Amino acid sequence: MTDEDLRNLERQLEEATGRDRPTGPPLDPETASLREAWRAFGQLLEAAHPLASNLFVPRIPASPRRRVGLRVVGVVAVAASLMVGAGVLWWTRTHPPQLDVAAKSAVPGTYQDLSPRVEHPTPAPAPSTEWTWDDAIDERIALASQAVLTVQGDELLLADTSSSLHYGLEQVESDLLGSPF
Amino acid sequence: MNDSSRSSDDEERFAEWGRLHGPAVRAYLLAMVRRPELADELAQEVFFRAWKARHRYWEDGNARAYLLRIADRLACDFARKARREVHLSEEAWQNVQAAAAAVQPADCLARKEAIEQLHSALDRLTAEQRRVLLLRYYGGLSFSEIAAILACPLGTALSHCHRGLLALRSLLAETS
Repeated sequence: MTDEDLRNLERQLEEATGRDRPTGPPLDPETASLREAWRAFGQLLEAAHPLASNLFVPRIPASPRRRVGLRVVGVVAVAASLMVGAGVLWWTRTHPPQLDVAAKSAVPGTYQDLSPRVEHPTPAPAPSTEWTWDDAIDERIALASQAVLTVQGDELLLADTSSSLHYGLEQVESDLLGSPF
Repeated sequence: MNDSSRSSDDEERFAEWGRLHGPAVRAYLLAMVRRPELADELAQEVFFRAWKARHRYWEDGNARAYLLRIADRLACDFARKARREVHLSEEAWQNVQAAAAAVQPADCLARKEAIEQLHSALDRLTAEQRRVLLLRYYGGLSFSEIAAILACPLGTALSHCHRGLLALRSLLAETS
């Protein structure tokens, strides 16, 4: 194909496939038939995928400055989370749980298990659901009540002693005040 | 000009690119890959790449040619990959597309028919003929620009266009 042929072909195809053909001399039959095929192709494209329905909004990528800003916000958020976590951990360690339930529910090796332990006596066996009279407990209660009465008696005796001492001191004071010295 | 105002100008120009050329780029990709969701994804990728290299091309002149060049490359990459992958049948995709695009049953049927006709017309063309005709239609590019995108001599691009038009003409004759 010579350069002349190439130029003629280019001109023909530009006329056949031009979007808006200016008014001018009529096309030769070959070019007109090519243009007809081109128009039919365009109609097919428009019918299948109308340009007007091609709603398209490109997403603008975040600018470097925005990315830096987002990074700073992210770092601050992570730091704040770590500080809150450390605070909670410190509070938990400095304020050990006082409830037996917390100590009993601590699973070995877990966070809860890291808190200082409070030693508790061996728990008594769980009471039976059936009610039975326990003579040993009854005797211990009786002994305890006697001990309480003894202590109360001692207190009363001590109170009497202190009151007689107080009375004697008052007598001495009045005697001293009444003397000529 | 400070950085913030330049960035704002860039964003405005980018939004204008999207408004002016986005539909054509998407339509080109849709005709090439024939799946709307994939065309959307690729169109976003086109604009993402354009944004990354924007400073080289702002003053280059033909923005649509630039965007379509990226779109063409992505579509060719997709076609290469698609040969190695398994997809739903073409008919299944047409049903999905038509049902998604139109609400009324009559519209749905008409759209489906139009898509089928378009695909049968595109199937008559070779890949290069398709690329030349679609770039010409959606981009309004000169044949020299199309030859540059296809990385082929001008004569080859003209030949693809001519043979493609002849194929379409014969199809038109058959259907009428």
